Amino acid sequence: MAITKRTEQDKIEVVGEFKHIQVRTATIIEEDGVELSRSFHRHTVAPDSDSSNESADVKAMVAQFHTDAVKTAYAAYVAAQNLDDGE
Amino acid sequence: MSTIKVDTIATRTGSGNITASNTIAGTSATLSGTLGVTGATTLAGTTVSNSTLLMSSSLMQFSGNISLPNVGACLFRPAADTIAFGINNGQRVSVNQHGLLFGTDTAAANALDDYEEGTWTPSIGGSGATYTNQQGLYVKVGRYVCAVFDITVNARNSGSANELHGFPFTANNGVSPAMGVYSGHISFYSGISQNVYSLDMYIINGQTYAYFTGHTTASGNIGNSLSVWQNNARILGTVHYFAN
Repeated sequence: MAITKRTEQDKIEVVGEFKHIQVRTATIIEEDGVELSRSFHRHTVAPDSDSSNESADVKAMVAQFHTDAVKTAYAAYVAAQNLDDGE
Repeated sequence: MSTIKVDTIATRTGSGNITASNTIAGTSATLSGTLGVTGATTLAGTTVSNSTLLMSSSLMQFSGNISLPNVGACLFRPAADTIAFGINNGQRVSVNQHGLLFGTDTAAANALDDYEEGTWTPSIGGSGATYTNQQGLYVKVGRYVCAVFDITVNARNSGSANELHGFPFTANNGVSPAMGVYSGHISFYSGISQNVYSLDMYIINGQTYAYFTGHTTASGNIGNSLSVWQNNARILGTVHYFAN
């Protein structure tokens, strides 16, 4: 009887005008290969995010969807919010 | 080919088997044991009384309704590609390609198509910040997201002064960004960088991070954002917003 724990990115979605990448990481507990539980952790990757620590799958999607045009449009959108940094 | 005529025999008993390669037709049959059928069986007007109908097949097909008269319930097909559950002569819920619908509603926008809960990791954005605590939980029901957080900054370094990052879904109301500001509220704070009369937060459509805002004076409008982060600052709160 072996209890094992593993994680997998079981859902990677591209959403919205600025191609945000939503990543769901599942933590799966199994006993002899039979799943006992599954829980989720999520994070998002914006066009201006640092993706250097992302998985190969996410990096590939960043390369595909976060084009210079998307990055430029997103930067303009953020700037248009006209939010000072409060400092 | 031969035929056994039994219409003049009141009762036929025996301990052996009857094997037929063609159709067996009749008006009634009574079995005290088990009826085994290896092929497809079509039941029309069949009643199973005081017993259980066991189906070992992987597929059970009905072209009509499934009725549970003792509890006033039935399962039926109100429209194409839809299955509905009714009780007390009313349709209560249905499921179609858009999700779960209540009552007799058929609008795709009202279909509940997602439920998920999990964790996320709040951070302050920027660079170099370290933390003593980063906890986030979320529940997503349809497009509605409720994200709660508890974060304590150890050292801010070059981290943002007024933002909270790491939300589990991108805020997206599906329409104009002009309507896309979602509010959050702060339930606890300590050690933030300035004294405040009120502290709130909001997330803008199309973004995955929130801004803090609030009053530092007794009157006046709330500004776009408010610096809160410094070393050892802690904030707990909740943000509600829409996602895809």
